[in-house]
Order: sequence, then structure tokens, then C-alpha cells
Amino acid sequence: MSTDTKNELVIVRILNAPRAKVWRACSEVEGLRQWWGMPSDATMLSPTVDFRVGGIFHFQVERPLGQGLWIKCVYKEIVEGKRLVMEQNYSDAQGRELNTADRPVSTITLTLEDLGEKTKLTVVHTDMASRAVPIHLFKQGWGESLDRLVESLKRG
Amino acid sequence: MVEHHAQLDLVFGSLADATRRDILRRVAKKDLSVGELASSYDISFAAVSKHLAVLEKARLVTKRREGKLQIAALAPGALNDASKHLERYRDIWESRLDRLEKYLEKQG
Repeated sequence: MSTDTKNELVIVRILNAPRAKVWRACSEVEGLRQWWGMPSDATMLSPTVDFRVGGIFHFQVERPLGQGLWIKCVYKEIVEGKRLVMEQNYSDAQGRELNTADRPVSTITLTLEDLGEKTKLTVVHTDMASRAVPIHLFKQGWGESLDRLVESLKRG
Repeated sequence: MVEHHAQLDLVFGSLADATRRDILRRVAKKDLSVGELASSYDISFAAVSKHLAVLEKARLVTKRREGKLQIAALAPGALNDASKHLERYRDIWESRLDRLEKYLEKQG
């Protein structure tokens, strides 16, 4: 997981349902179809789910985000009922990856925690590649002068 | 990913030059005309234009025309695209989780 918080989005939601039920909603196509679509107001088109490590969750994105654009999530880690890690790719209908600078590959981690009748769901979305200048690449690959440049630009 | 790496090569290539780093630093603070930039350095207007073209190609700087002036500005998101992508994801996730809540509720 990235240590650069700029490249990581964390969202926590307390859900009014037991963990097993939330897990089903996150792992079965019937549930995912109801809520995982994107962008915000779109219904998910033609979802398929092969729920196993290495398996694929594939669906079409509605306009306006992009007609004919599909999302292909590859399951990287599954801890039954508790934790789910997937790599999100932009793709076509055949599952060929179409990641670009503006539509980069990213990693999604869902963690479910028991709170009695409720469940704490934590979403971590990590950007693996971004367009122009990922700050951490600056810092790793380049000398002090670039560090100073980035700092000065941030100060504006 | 190839496209992404090519883009990074352009960015790093463009920043390998001290003058260009300085130009970027200046336009990050304030939009500047090519003439203003040229007067800051001991180089010609044409040389500054060349440096700007390199920064423009790397999508770090944009250029626009205002009357007779060419104005250089920091490209939107030149240095914080990562967080921009993530902000886009934030909206997506908030609405997803709203729908998830409703779905769980409906199931009883």
C-alpha cells in the first residue's frame, strides 16, 4: 500500500446490516449490480463476476463517463467475509485493458468489520499511475533540486 | 501504461534543464508573458519560447494569447493529477455507498 497519502483515498461507512450480508452485496453479481455502477447516476450494464483470486468482475460504464467503456476488476486477494483486494482496469467489451494516462489502473481494497448488527466498511482506493507528475516519483528518482522545485510549487 | 511512461519521460526530460525548472517555478506562482520570462533570463525571446514548447509538450505549462502577448500558465493539474483522479473516485464511492445502504435496507 502506498505511503503517499496523496495517492490514496480512504472512505469509511457504517452500514446497518450484518457483515455476512454486506459481504454478499460486495461479492455476488446480484448485489453488485444494484450499487457498484459508475458514474453516480448510472445503472451497471452487463456485469459478470468470477469471484475467485485471479477472477474478473467486468461491467460496462454508462455515459457520460464513456460510451462503450468497460471496467475490468481483477480479484487479487479474497479473505472470505472480511477483505477484498482488486485491481481496477479500464477495458473494452472483450476485457482487453485500455488503461491510459487519464484512466489509470488503480487498486481497490474493501475491509469489513463486525459491529454487532452493523458493519464497518472501509474502502481504500489507490491510484497506481497518474498523468503528469506523481510527487513520489519526483522524490524517488530525482535529486534534491527537484524536491525543492516541488516544494516551492506547492507553496505557490 | 506505455503511454503513461512516455508521458513521464517527457516530464522528466523537460525538467532536466535548470532554466525550464525555473520557468515552471515562476509560472506556477503567476501567469507570465513570454516577454516577462525572457527579461528574467539572459536569453532571447525565441529561446524562452523553445523552453516553453518543451514544457507545453510535457503538459506542465499551457500557453494562451492575449492580444499581442503570449501568456504562459501552469497546466491545470500538472502537479496534482493523482489527487484529482482520487477526488473523482471519492464522488463515485460516496454515491456507491449510498446505493449500497439503500440496497441493504430494501433486502430487510
